[in-house]
Amino acid sequence: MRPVTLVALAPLLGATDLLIKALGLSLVALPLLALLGVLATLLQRLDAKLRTLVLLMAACAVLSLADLLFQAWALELRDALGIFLPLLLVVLLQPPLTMRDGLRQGGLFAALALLLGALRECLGSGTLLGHAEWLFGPAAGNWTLQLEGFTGLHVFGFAPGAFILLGVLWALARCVLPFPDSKA
Amino acid sequence: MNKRTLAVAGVVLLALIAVVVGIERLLSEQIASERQAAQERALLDLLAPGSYDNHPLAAPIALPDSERLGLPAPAFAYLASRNGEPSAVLLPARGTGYEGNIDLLLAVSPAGQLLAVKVLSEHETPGLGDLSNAAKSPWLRGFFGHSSSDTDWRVKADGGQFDQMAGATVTSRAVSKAVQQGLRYFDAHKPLLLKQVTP
Repeated sequence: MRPVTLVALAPLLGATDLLIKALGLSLVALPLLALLGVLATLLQRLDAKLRTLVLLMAACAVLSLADLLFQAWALELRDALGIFLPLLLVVLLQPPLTMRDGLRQGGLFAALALLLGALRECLGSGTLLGHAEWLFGPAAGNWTLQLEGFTGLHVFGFAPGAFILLGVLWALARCVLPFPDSKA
Repeated sequence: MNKRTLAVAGVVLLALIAVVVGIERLLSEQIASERQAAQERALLDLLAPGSYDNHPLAAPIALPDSERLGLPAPAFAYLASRNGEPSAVLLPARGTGYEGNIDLLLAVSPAGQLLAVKVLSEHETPGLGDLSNAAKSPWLRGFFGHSSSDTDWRVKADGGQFDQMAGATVTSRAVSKAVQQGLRYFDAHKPLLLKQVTP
């Protein structure tokens, strides 16, 4: 089994300071990677260069569509995600080869994004589900959970905090899970 | 790459462009209305959700002698109402801070009490008298609930009622003065501001 690679590190770290942003990002990344996987399977016969080209164009189209949908129904979330939504295009540096592959990559990305989003929002600003109304409409305005008496360590709201957290998670995962490539 | 490859790539590209453009056409109306709604939400977030059911920004009220608010003409206020009853007036006000104008938006109850205030623009020193994250500013909250004459609006450094932000007395003074000016203006022009209740 091909090891799952994680190349979309910039969106993963840059846009996960709020759980709701992580959710928005995952909602795009997971279908995008799954679709790329399906396309890659269908286009197996094409020569590699052409396949990459077609995948690239398909990814551009999907991201443009996602951007339009966000503009139409979740403008604040789209503005908060900023450049990181179109930057999901970097997943094409190592595109999935099969649908299974795509789902695994997308699932890993979504799970990590949500985990980082939840942890960073708790640690960084002492809330959870802040700005839920960006995605779920005005009725969600009071979903925000406030951790009593904790207003957060701001570093976790910024990229360095995200790197630290991801590193800690990585180390924990390596302790707990048996990694096939950990020969050293 | 051979010619066939390029042709296939070209056809795929054109098809995808057509799809995206078509969907953009379909969504353009929804996008425009969402953009307007977002602008409205950004300006009206100082009103409690559910405290109004009209579209305040659709009916601006031109303000006479706006220089009393520190603003050049034309300036506009907006009336928020619920079930035809006025629930709040949104009033702009401007103070002169340390580094230029501080533009505020006040939400005033029909009784003349300050419901909320938000900073629209400011140029104060970052970190000192920093109003950019005013939504969380406990200092601004200190003004809530007061009316133009029920308290001493000066900052404590001048013998008044309100704390000033440390290291930003000028900014604090400007904001508290602008808020009081706005509330006084509301008292003076109450009939005009509350008159127009949109159905």
